[in-house]
Amino acid sequence: MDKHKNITAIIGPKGGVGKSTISANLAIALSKMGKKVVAVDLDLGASNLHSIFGIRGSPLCLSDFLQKKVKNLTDVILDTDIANVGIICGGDVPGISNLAYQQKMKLIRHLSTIDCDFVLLDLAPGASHNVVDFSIAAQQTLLITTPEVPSLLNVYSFIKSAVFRRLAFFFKREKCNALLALLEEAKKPDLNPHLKTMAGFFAAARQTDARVADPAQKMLTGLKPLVIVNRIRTEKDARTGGVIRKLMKEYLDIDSAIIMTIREDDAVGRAIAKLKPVLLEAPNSPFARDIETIAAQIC
Amino acid sequence: MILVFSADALRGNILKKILRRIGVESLFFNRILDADSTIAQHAPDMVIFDTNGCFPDEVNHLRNLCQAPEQPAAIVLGDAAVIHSFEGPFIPGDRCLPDPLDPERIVAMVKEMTSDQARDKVTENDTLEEDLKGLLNL
Repeated sequence: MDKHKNITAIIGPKGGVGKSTISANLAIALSKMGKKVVAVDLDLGASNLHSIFGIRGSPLCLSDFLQKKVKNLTDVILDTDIANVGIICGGDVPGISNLAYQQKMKLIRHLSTIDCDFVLLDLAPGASHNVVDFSIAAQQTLLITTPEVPSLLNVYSFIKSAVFRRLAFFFKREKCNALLALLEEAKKPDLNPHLKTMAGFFAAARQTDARVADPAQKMLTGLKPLVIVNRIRTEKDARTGGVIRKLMKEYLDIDSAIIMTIREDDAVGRAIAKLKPVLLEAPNSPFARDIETIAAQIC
Repeated sequence: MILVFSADALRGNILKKILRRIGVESLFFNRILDADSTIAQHAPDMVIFDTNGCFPDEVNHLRNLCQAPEQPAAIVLGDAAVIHSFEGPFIPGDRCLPDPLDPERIVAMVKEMTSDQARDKVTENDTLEEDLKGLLNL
């Protein structure tokens, strides 16, 4: 694997969908495949990734780096009990979740220098600029949802936010104010129904400035989000991911989303109660098997 | 259309024949890669995987296929100890039919699943898609 293509963002736009549990166990599954992994708790202000690894307290955490108590991000990497798995704990300093732009850019720079096969970013819920920007900085994006409508809504909204922000960055970089203005118009679909879909947007964009519009569209076709539907109980639940993929294709022009699933499993609750990762506590459980399948997919 | 995979050509042809008898067209493969690529390209309405005579890695491959969310509904046949491991949200226990091969039971299961699919197709996903579109103002 390319050493510089190792940052994987794990995003659960709706809270409570199992993002941290999946992050921790995915780190272990990857380590079992011989990969060196560092899991980073970026759910700042509500960090709990360490507890899933059974770590009760941490002498150093990400907030120490952000507050310049240590120089390098690597200084706050802790070893876990699992071979080849390190963790950066979040910390609970009040206000730490509101990262300033410079802090965010510094963090992204340091994340890309960590010497390992995978850096897993356990990001906060929601679609704030911070979360979207970390997902843009990552080489892979895993979007976690449950089969329920509110969670599916949030996943779609997150992807849409990420698409719009990527386009805004692109148009700014190209200094194309006309397309930036068109992008703003596309945020008001009731007033501009012809811009409701990305296909419609790019049709209008090409008329405005084809030189910039064409590579921007090509950039979007390269997006390959991995949507993970967690806590699947029935076949009907499993099919919900397909609906999101259809909407992404129809409205956002994203044609290559991959949908995977994780089955509902009582072993997860039992492991969390014991402060142990499921892959260690119940390695043959359906959850563990599904996580291993996902690990194989992202390798 | 139903896709049938069996490593055992005799059992595969029996399955094809009993399906034809109830008016259901099927494609039979006894190489797993052929079955795999056909599923990817043509998305059959249903698959019947016969694990009898499969190597362990073939069984694993079939199990992974069954656990993929967008795979068609499946019936799994074979040794009871092997097919038990396929059970889960995508393959309820009653769709794992242990040996010996029972044509009447397979036919009954195919008919039941076909009528369920016809009913479900027009409700579940369409409703969810419409709900999401409405809520997202699409």
